[in-house]
Amino acid sequence: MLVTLASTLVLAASVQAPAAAEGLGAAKDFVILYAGDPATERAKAFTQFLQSSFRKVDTIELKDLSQQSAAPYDVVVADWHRMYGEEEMQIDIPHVELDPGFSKPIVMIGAVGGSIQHHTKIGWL
Amino acid sequence: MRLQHPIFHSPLEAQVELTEVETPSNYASWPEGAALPAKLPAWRVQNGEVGKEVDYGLVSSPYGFEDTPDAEWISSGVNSKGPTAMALGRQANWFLWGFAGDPTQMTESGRRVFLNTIVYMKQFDGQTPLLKPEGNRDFTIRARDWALVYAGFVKELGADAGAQEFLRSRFPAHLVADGIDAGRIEAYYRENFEMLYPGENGLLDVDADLKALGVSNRKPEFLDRMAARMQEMGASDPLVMTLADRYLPEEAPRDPARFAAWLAQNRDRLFFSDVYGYRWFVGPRAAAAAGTR
Repeated sequence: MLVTLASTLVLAASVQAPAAAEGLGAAKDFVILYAGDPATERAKAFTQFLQSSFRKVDTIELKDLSQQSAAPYDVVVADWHRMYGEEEMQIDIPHVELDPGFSKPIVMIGAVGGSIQHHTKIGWL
Repeated sequence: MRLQHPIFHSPLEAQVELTEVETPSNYASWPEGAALPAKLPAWRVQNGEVGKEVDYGLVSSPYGFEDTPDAEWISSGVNSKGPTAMALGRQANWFLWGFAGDPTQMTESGRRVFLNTIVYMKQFDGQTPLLKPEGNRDFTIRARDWALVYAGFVKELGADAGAQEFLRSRFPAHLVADGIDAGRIEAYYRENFEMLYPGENGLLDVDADLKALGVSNRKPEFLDRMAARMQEMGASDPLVMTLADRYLPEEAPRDPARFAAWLAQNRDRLFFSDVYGYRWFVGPRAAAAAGTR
């Protein structure tokens, strides 16, 4: 059974939390760190979405992500701006090397998963 | 896809709906791809044309991903690699959300699963992967399933004169001495799958010493057979010494009686990992492993 990495339908417009987000229960009190490219519309979409679901969301540059910067948060979301343009692909994820001692829960979006760490089994196939 | 996983149900019920998609043609040459039907059930995670409106995502190798108790494969996704390439999965405190769409591009069920993933990950605060790769860099050791992937490469590229050197470099010399025969290579690996070990230059081949013992290196029977052989032949038996050094944890006693006692005490915690070096390791005690699958 598959899930789609690719699709051809329309873009949705909403960045609101799911209607059932109230169902998050105690997790609504989470404090989230979004590490990405804060100046982009993409980062705004993520933070707006997360803010509508969790108590607090802070944003930092991906390059500043570390055990220390992540320490105050419940979960980290690591992301970067779009890299596949109309003309060509440009992978320009900043050099971040989170080491094996990094112990905060972290959700890595797309290509970031193969770029900011190299000590887990998660990486480019 | 493991639809029973908590990220699809808790705390938000994602209400995943499945539709059918054409099976990607590139799947056919992968070990799990040959028997796939023309269409596969799929969950739409995001909308938008990939490459234009949505970036391509990332998939990781599924082979050996779950050979440590801190890791779980959750789902693949339509991709340019193989049918089980991992798009959603976790190792310790690290989660791969391989889909590149932002929340405006996620479907409603996609947004719910994304939020559930964040909630799910909270329980792994303070954890780190149980093992570290040698050299602390990208993995160079590959799980034995890759032998069959490489055999698939031969089927796909075997007629390409320019690919011969690459293909030849994937296999031990004795397997390609008389030419690169996909059928013969695949049959050899399938017949000896449980006996594979990275030999010279890391190329997967049969471990002749293991074959003499007559049991898989990664199944619990290996441990019992080693205990029996130690008891019968003594710790100085060359085969016991060779296989103990190759496969057992360093802390495993080599004395027959002490090994038997150690095995009884640790049996439930022992696991074998191809990816971390084709060895047995002692996992954490149950309390410390709470939260793993």
